Amino acid sequence: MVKKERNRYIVFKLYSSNDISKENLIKDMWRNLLTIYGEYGASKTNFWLIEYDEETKKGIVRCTHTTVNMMRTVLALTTKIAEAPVIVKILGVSGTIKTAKEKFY
Amino acid sequence: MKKYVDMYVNQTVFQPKEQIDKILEIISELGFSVICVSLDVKDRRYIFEEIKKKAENFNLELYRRIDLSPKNVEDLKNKLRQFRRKCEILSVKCVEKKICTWAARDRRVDILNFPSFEYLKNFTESTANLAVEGETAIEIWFKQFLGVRGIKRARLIAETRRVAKIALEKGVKIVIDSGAGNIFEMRAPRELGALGYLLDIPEKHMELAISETPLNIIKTNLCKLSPNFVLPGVEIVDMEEENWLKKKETDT
Repeated sequence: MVKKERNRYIVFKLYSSNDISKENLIKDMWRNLLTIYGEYGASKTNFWLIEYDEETKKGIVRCTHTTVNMMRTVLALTTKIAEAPVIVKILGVSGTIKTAKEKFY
Repeated sequence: MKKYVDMYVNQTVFQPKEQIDKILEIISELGFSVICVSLDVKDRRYIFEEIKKKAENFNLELYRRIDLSPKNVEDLKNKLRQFRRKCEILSVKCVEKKICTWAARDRRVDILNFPSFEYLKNFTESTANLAVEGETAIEIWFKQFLGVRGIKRARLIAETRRVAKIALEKGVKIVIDSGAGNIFEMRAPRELGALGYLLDIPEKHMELAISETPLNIIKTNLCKLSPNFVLPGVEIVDMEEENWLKKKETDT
């Protein structure tokens, strides 16, 4: 039987002249998600920051397969993390963490 | 491989001058192949040639863009006459309904730009009909959505959605670009396209808005700017001057 809700893993890279910590990243991503889609919308995404490497500034976020586009918008509309200006670039989307890491990380 | 275009990158993005290489590298990493640099009307050549030369190292194509901000329709006509043949892309800031209507139907104008939320109301169904005739595209700046929050952003999304809906219904070309004034306002092509999800633009049209539509505009204008261009569909293929001179000599 096909699972109703499947996860997707979005690999992203940050471009910023400042160092960005994992805590600040989580905080600001949640804030953006809640600002744009509200609590109800955010509840549907199953959003979580799986991994973030502070050196390479690459990370993986989890969401459901139906909310990938919502997450794309949220990441695209992220302008600042801990007051530091950033560009978020999505490197790829995958169905498993393993493939996400192999292909894009 | 698909070519992605950012139709508006302000020349201020490349400041300070020492950072040009670094900035071009980021733009290239973001995935763009073509960018249009919006130049100041007064010093068009100053920085552009320098950036263009360096952009070749990053496989980036650069084109000139001029944004006209006319005071009235007469001013618009004068400026169009003055600048049309001096850049590849010409856009008009539609700050007034009359200007918007004139610009929409003028074939010399490539893009209708709405610099802020209040001016979006200038785009109506009748303007859309004229834009189809005049083959002008409308531009959506990603930057506008970055700078606002809360009610303002909600209203901006709603109004842009209305404009996009009219444009799609009437068949007006849509271009989505960053509108960046600094490098942190730029986004990767797919992220620019992601704006379409907020504006209810179908995925097919999102791809067109960041790739094919801007590329076609540039291609058409490059043809028009070539010295062999006479009229749309008519161009000089070969000059017969030499043969004509030879014939004249033999006749005498």
